[in-house]
Amino acid sequence: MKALEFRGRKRTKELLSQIEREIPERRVKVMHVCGTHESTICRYGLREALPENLELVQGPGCPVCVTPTERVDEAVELSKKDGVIVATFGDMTRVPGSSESLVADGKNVRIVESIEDVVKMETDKEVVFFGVGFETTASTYAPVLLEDHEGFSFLSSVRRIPPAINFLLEECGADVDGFIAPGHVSVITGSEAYREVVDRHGKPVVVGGFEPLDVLSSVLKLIRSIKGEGKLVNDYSRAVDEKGNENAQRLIERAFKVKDSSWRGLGDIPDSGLELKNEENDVRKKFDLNIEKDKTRPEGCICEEIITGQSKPDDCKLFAGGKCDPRNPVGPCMVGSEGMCNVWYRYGGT
Amino acid sequence: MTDIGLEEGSGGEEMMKLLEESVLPHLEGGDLEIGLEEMDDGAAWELPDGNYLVFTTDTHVVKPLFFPGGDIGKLAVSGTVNDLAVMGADPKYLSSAIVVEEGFEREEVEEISRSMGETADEADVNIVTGDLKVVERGGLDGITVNTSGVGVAERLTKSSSLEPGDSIVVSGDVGRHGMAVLASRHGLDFSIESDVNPVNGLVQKLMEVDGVKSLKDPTRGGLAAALNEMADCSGVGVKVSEDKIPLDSEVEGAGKVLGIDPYGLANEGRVVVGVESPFVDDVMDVLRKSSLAPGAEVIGMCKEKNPGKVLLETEIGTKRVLRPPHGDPLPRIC
Repeated sequence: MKALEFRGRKRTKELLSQIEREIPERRVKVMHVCGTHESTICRYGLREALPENLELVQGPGCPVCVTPTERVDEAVELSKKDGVIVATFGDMTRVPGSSESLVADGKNVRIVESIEDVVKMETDKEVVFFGVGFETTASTYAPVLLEDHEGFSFLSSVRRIPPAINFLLEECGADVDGFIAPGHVSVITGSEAYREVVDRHGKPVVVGGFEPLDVLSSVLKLIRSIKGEGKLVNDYSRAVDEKGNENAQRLIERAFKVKDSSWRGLGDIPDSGLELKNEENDVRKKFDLNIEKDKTRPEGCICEEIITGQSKPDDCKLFAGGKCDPRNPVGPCMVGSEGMCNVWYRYGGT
Repeated sequence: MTDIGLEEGSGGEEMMKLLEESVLPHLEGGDLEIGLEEMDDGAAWELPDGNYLVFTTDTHVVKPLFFPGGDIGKLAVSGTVNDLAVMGADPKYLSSAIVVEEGFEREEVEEISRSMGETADEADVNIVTGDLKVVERGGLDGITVNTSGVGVAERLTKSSSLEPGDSIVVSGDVGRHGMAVLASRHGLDFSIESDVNPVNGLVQKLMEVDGVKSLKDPTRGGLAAALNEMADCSGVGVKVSEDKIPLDSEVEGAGKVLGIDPYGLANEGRVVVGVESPFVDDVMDVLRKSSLAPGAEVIGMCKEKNPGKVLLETEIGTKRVLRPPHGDPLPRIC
């Protein structure tokens, strides 16, 4: 399939004018839940091109951003123990904890590109993999976690997207008219994973792809759904079906158990976390971790409001004043390429 | 004590801050046509005959030392030759100062030197003085090569001379050097070759075209940084079309995979030209005849609107601001 099919000028114009014609006159707020969607929106200047009364926000869709401070603190504490190496993705090493990030001391921290790198590491130390991600990443962790590995343990920061969307509506009273669901998570979960959002909350969900025309098409379908009855639409059928990848789901089920999980900006969300089933490799069984939840946050940082779609990066004084950037990130949304602040920084905002 | 971070060598805001706070206050630049305080690619001194002596220097620390399309030797000569050329000078003589780590292979020093000699021949310059030092193991990562160069210019080109209505031309596809180095560093299987080449011959021909006002070699910070500098220094808005910006399909693909914008990646053999629009065809004629300008294109125009900003019309017809890249996605690229 050629990418050009998703980037035609003519089709872009058509979609934009259809959206213009069909959007209700009132303000419409659409939330997507994915850093890749945000990149497409910024890279192609879609916010500027869409009608003014359409507000497009990013929700809790960056796994690095939603990892709460206490989980970072746990990883930092582990990295200070004798005989322990903490291995994780580069972005995670730079997320500020309550007093420092993993990279600050860094002696016993290794940056890896996959969980396979971790189990291949040659060392007589205990290697703790600090694994972050959503369903898509969980499916890549699962096969390795199901194997037996000596001297290996897992600190989980793995989360499920659909419970977070429900929670936003139920507990946070999010004033969102509809959601664009992330295509790659949905490849694993299937579009039906968002059924509850639609049936219980009456909010439409469109599962969308990542090319600019995908995003515009998803916005149009969402607007149509908002005007009618809340519906579940799979607008990314070239990759996603109703049921998802059942093999991957089975692997995730075998490797992980569903638990409540804490999200930055949102708090504890029931059934939103994936913890390791094999307790022998669970870091909490091997080490005593006594980290208190730290509710304080860096002065001026509004990452929590950004994660919940209440604010955008340019509402942040640190962002606007050039006091927070990818090299010296104050909050997690500036750290990784999926974070809204980071994306805005790279593409010059909006 | 404050430790210096990698980003402070990135050529961006951080480096400027370091220089302005800790280096420049202690140096006296002298009263030159283009002096230290202008922080240009080099300095220029007016000679008694009305021509200008242009002087520049650059230290090269690329990793890996040998990359597809070139090596640190070719890069060291091309970089200095091109810096002189885009200031309007005809490069003449270069120096070469090499620092080697104990244990570095002698054959590699020879290969790098051979490459420097060949590139100097190509550029029609001579390397006329030099120095070599060896530091203890661990005192340096392999080798660094510094080259300085002088050349003579009849007239100097400046980034500050563009006006609304002028056209912007790029001499070939962008982002090649940065992506070639990055791909080989990560062992990625692409056939992308660096564009590293001395382009002084081509620049000389461009200088002969009426209406050519401004020339930039889009090295660190790539096309995005070069266009922003032109917009900023001249106080004009620059509008470019993504459709027109030449991009190798592999560079584009690799950029997508790695999440890196090729417009912010270094080029080592390209020139961005600002030219009065009636003369743009003459510039294109020169470029089309050169083997060093594959796929040259008129990519945009200077506008009165949005002075100091670069506006990119995306391939789907929407618009976004193209900012200079912040920091360096890839340290040790040149």
